[in-house]
Amino acid sequence: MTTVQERRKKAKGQAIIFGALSVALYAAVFSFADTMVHLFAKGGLYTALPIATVFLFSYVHGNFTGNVWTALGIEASAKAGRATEKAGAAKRTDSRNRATVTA
Amino acid sequence: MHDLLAENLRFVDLTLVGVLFLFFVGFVGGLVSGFIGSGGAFVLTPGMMSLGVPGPVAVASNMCHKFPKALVGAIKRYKYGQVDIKMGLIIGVSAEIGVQLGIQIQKFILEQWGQAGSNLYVSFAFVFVLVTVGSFVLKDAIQTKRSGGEEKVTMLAKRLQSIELWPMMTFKASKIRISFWFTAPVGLAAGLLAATIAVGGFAGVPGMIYIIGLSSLMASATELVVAFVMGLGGTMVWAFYGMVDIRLTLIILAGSLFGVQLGAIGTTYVKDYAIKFVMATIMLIVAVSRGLAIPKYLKQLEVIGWDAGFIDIMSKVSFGLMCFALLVGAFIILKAMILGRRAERQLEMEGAASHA
Repeated sequence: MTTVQERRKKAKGQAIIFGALSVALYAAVFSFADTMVHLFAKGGLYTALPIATVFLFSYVHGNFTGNVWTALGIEASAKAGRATEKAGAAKRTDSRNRATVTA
Repeated sequence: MHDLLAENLRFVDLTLVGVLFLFFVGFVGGLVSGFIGSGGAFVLTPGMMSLGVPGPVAVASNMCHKFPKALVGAIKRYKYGQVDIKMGLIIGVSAEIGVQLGIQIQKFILEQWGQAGSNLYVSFAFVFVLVTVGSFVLKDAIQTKRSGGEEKVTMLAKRLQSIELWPMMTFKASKIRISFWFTAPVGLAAGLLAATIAVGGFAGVPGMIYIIGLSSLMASATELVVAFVMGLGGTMVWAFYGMVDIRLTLIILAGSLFGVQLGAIGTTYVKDYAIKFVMATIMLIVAVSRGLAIPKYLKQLEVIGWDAGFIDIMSKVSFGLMCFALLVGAFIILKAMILGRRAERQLEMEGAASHA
């Protein structure tokens, strides 16, 4: 089980990485805004472009925003947290000592 | 449709104020969506149009931000054990059929009575559905709060669940077994409403609670899956006709992804009926707002001869009220979340003190 401090520290690191990636993506789009807008509005087979773009942004920017809230200490109630931790605990592998044979 | 708007007319120049406005509404809309499963579109689409964006581009760009936002919100709430994916997908597919049906109805009205007739139909649908469903949900939320905050499955849902009608479906996540023929009308109604007033969740969430028998927490989270399915399908159609302005979509998405995560976190701190309170409050304020927009369309149809200046003021008040509805919803969510966090911390501190 990770402590709140460990979780927040990890989230801070992730927020910086995904934040930088997010800024880079937004900068790229708005640097070539006119070209992109017209290319994406061609329709037909170009339909895939806006859809793929929003999926990419939702992954990168979504990870950034999620980690920002965690880094700020805004997390789900412990009740919801406990449910996920319990599920995690069930999957834990058996770490008891095994009988081994040494030749 | 691709030729409907000349390319140079389709995309507006963005100002800093416009960008900030879209980011902020995106954030508040996302916050409400993450909490009640839907919301924001009713301000975003007219908001974009007030910035000069043509109607179809506003609808398409809004739709294109909706499904990734819903996806992120659904993933977050799935981690809290609140999503019934199977139910969301099945209702989502029936909702797609509802959307197609809704489009046909809109087309028929447009051909018969023109743009003003179509606007009038949308406003009447808004007012009728929101007042009827909103008051019912509000009454139920008040009753649930008075009876100790414990939600009960409605008699209607219990009765429908007991009817064995092929094909029966089992939903493990929400522990419900019900016939497909009772989930399909909920999806159809959500889709029909989405195609009419752009907010299918106002039919989908109450439908899942009162007809199928899900808890508000589960219904509002599952609605995010429905919104994802509907949003993806709708975006494919709009993008095929080249109506998505990717800049607008990405600006709203920037704000809404902050909001949707916060809204999802908020659900873990409140009692189930808080979702009903927020939903009913927003629905009723928006109903008043749309009611104020009706005289404009009646004047266009030459049914009434009111002063143009007065009608213009009513339209502005109408838009202001829609923004107010969203802000009130956000205020209730944030307040409930802050109080919930405070209460939980207090309990933790008391627990720690008693152990020491």
